[in-house]
Amino acid sequence: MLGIRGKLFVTSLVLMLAVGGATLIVLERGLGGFLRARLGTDVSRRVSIAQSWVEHGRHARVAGALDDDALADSLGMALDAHVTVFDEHGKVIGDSEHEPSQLGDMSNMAKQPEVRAALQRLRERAAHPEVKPIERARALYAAVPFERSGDIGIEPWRKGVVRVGVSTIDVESVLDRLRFFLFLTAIAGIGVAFVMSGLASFWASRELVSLVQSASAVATGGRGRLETASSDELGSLAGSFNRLVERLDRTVAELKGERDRFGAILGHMAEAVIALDSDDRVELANQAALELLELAEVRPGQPVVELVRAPAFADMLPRVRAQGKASAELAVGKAGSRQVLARAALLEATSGVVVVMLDVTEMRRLEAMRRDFVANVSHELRTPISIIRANAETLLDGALTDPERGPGFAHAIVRSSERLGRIVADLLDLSRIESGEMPVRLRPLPIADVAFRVVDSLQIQARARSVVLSQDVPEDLEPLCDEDSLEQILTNLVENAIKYTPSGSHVGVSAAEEGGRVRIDVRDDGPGIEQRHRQRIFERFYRVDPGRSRDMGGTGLGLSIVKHLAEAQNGTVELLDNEPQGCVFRVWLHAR
Amino acid sequence: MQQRGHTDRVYEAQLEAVRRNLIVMAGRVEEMIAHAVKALVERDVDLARRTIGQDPKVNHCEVETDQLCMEILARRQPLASDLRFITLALKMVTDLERIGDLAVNISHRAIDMATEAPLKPWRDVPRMAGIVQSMVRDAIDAFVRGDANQAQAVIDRDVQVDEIYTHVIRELLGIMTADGGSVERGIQVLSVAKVLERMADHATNLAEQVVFLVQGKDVRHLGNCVE
Repeated sequence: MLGIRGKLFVTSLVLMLAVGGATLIVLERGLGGFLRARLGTDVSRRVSIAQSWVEHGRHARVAGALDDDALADSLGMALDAHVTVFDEHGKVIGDSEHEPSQLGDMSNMAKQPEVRAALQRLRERAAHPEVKPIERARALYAAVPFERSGDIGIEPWRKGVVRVGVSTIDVESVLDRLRFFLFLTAIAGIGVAFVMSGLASFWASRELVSLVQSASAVATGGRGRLETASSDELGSLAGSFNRLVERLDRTVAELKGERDRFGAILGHMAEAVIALDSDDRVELANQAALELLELAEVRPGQPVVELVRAPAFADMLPRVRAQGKASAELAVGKAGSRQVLARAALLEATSGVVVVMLDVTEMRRLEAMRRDFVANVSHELRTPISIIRANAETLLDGALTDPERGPGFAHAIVRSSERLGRIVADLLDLSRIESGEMPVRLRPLPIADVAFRVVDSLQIQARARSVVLSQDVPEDLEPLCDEDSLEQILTNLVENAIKYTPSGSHVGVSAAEEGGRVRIDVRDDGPGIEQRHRQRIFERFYRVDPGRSRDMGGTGLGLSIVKHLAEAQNGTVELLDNEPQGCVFRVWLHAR
Repeated sequence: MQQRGHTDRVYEAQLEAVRRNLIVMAGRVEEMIAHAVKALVERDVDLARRTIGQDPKVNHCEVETDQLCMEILARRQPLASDLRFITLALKMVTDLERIGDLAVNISHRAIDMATEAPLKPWRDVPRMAGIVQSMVRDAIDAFVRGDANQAQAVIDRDVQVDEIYTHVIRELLGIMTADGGSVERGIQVLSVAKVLERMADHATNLAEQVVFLVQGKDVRHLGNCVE
């Protein structure tokens, strides 16, 4: 494949050769033709001279007869040509280049076309047309008829044909020299053409080649402009190219900015976003999606069913393709622990799908809590109310006057109304703590006293259930807390521990300082609490074993109150496993 | 895995469809195990009924995948790893379908036992269920990634399930011997544990097939095969 320079070179070379060649051919043809034409005219003139000489000249005679051969010889001398004279029958009677003795052998000369034509004209006495010389055997021949009126008695009337032949060798040699000359010129011309076309193509292409080189440098990612000094078309091409490059740079920068902005928005969105192509393969997933689905990375082009295994998701995809929109709630994560609301929308243009996922675990938990709370509070209130009502009705139906059973019913009413009162009081406490109405005065407090008081007051209860109660709180621990609140916290926790552990268990209160905070533990060695209850155990009315705790006289609000009181003192409460069995309720308070 | 380019795009798409079907089916089965055991522990009859209602979808998946595999076998005559993939897919759907059926079985137990007080707090059965669920998930994960090591880990986990199963049997025997009234409930719990143990066996099958698919090595019945 030729480069632009090669193409220019070949083109200009061919052009120069063609022009030179044509010139040579025209020169050779024209000059040759001209010389031949001149020679032709010359021959015609000479034959006319010969004719008039033969017709009118005074000639040497031999024995009274005209010596035709001598005539031919003298004519040949005079005209510097080969002159032949024929009689009217075509017989050669004189020739300038042959001896008379040889003339007999020249009979076939009459058959030459020019001689025959002249003989023909002689016979027909045709008018004198212009004589056309005929070229043959490197000579031009022309023949004309003649009629010579003889002198009466001396010379007979003679008719015949005179022919003049002039050699073309001179012309040919001139032409040959010309051709040789032209040949030399052509060789030199080719050499010059070679050099000239090379130079021309170099000059023409130099600019272009440099443009192409810098353009390909720009194309392969290098930055830069095309530099050109010329103001011709190449210059304006370079200008256009430079403007194009600038516009391209701007567009790329804009797109990059757009992409970065889009990426930043996607990356910082709280919602997980996954974009799918028309074949349900992942095109894009943001950071939130990776976190929500607990994935380390997503390969672009990975089928989405590999990432989200929840059947509800697989079922949603055909729906979104059919209806344009769909949503589903699914469990994701390694243990299916997170509840996710996925909304999918079809992209009409690409028939891809965008799925936005929102973690609704906490929302669903709160919903369940509220639902349970309403159900629980109604249930908790209804039970004592129905007991009161049933007992009151029984009393009204006549038991009022029954001295034996009457008081029993009345006691039941009292117990239930006390229970109602406790529930209402607890609920009020809770709402007061929550709304911050309950006065909490934080001050450094020696908690050993409080722990001792609580344990002491619950000893009777513990002994009744054969639970061993102990306390081991260092005297010098004085965290920031509110005395009444802490007393209630410990009372609730220890009371719970006594109630829900089998007889013979140990319940202990201990405390220690740890990392600027004080932890107070209430531990037991009972059966413990199942994992699934742990998260909800501090909710209001949440019961691990509903029937049993109500029998124990609990309101279902104790731990909830503990939690809120701890938080009111800037503390926390947590539930841990006790070794080898049982559980630990741990309250954290700030050290002084 | 299975990412090699086939000249025929339709063929490629068919193999991909089989793969996706298997993944979706495994997802359904996983969820069924989780829901069945949750229904059992939380005495949620409604959830148990819904889990039973999922079974037809799993069956449908099985039939669909079977047909797809048959079509590929008949019309494409797959060779080498493609052939291995198709034959194993045929086996894997069977195992997955069986696990689905077993989850239905647990759901029925859950409905039966919902009205009775639990024998003791559920501890070992949910643990077993968690392991089985993770076995199915990891077997399919290994299948998706072509990860023989992960598949091997699934096979090794079967031992844990067996150990818990033995422990459960012993504990239940103790309880039932001590208290004649607990025999009926004990047997129900025992049957649930048995079902979970069988599920683990099916999950092990899945994992063995993945090892075979990836390495071309048959790891079934190692050590107890009559030569």
